[in-house]
Amino acid sequence: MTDRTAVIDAPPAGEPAPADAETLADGDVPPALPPRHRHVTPRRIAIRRGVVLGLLVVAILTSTAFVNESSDGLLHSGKSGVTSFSGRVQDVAVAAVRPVRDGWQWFSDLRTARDDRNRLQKEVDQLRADAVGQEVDTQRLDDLEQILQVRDEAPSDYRAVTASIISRPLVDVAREARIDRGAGDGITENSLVLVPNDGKVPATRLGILVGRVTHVDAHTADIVFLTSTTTKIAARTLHTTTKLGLLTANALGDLSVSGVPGSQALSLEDPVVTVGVGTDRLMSPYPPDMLIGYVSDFGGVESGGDWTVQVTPYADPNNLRTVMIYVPKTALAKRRAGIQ
Amino acid sequence: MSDALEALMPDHDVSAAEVKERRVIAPAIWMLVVAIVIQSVLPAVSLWSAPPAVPDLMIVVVCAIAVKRGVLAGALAGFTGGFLVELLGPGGSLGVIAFGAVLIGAWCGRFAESGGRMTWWMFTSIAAAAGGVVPLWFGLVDTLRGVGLPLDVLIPTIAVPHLTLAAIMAPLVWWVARRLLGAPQVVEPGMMPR
Repeated sequence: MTDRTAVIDAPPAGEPAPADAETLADGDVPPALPPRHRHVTPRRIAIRRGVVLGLLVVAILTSTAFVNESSDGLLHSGKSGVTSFSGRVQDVAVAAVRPVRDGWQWFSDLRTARDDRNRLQKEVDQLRADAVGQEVDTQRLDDLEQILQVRDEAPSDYRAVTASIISRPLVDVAREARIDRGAGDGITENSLVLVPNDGKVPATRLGILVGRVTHVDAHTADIVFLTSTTTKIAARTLHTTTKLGLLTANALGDLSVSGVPGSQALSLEDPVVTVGVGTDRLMSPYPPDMLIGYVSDFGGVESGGDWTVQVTPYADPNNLRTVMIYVPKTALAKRRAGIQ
Repeated sequence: MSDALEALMPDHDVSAAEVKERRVIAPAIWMLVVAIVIQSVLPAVSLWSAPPAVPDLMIVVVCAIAVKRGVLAGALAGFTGGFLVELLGPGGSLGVIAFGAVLIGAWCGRFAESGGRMTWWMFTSIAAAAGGVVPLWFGLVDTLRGVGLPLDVLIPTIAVPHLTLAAIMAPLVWWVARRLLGAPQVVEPGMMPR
């Protein structure tokens, strides 16, 4: 065997071979370890620096180009291509490790079960107290909708697809996730991401809105949750027709509406829903009356006499494993999604 | 004489293919497996809920490969690993983590030539620091793009969880690295046996 490692690995002629101190048997006396880098030539150091600098430059150029190019650019297309291929591998891997994940989930659930029980008990008490009033309000809202001939954007406008969250970003700054459904399942950009209502919250037709689809590949799609700082949704409380304002999320993912007139009637636990308005050319991707969360606080009056309303989402996106994707089906829904 | 000691001898009786496998192929396969594990298993292993922190196993593995295989291998491992996690995962970036991982890998690679003994707790300290630095670097880039989180949010909710998770994973990764990669052996162009 021709050895070409003599510069660094092999000891100089006449010196004993250095041993790895970690692997010596008990009782062995480790021989003196000469610093290996003393044999590194200037040329080799130059090569190292060149390669490292080259890699850094490539990384900078790639990241800059990726941010600046359009979604159908070369790098995005390349990433989509890899994602399409890796999606199948991910599906197999996810299925293979599902028992491990479920086991971990079992431990996590056990840890939070007591807290959940206490919280749910409190919510049940609150819901019981509100049940009668909500029944009346729901009936009244239905009557008003019929009177005003409000267009019913019930699930008939959408086709429901169940999806599992298979991946989240390593550094989840943007509150994103990847689901195991893609263009092959009919998913389109701006499809709505919801979780089942399960009758836990009143008077909504489409379940609880948690986000929307932002990017679609053949077998997977990326979704962004409402708790992203990019979120801007026109919102109102369920029992009023007056718009609260734009619902936004801060860096911690807390939802709030600023600039709400101090004269607006508000109460804690009021459900907050989408307004669903836009212009003819640019419609809101969210249909009206989709449940988001409830008013959890509307602290002090601001200098201009306005309120800032804190909204707590009914569904915490961080804990979701399975979601429903509502794919636009009718022409109106497709216009809302901007795909027609 | 231990196996590791024999492996360091220039005329040891090991085939070129075996040397190549241990020096290059084993780290490469290890990184690929880790990339798949990160995208399939680790999203379910979240010790924090707001926001969930996916354990950054890749940067810990990059540190391990670097301290076992030198500066160049560390930098290449960081570049490849960073690209893999961004390429395979969701998100609107590509190359950001790779940049940070190249620097971390190159720096950690210096330990491969130091001749000193790397203990598991030293490696854990290095890996934990690396695990905390990557989110900070990512956050800095996002700030430059105008979409970053403030430091008082980034550090407690993202950097600290990543640092802690890296520290938890590091001893196990170090154990695997010692058995998979053996003694430190610097890998650079022109150093592989024919």
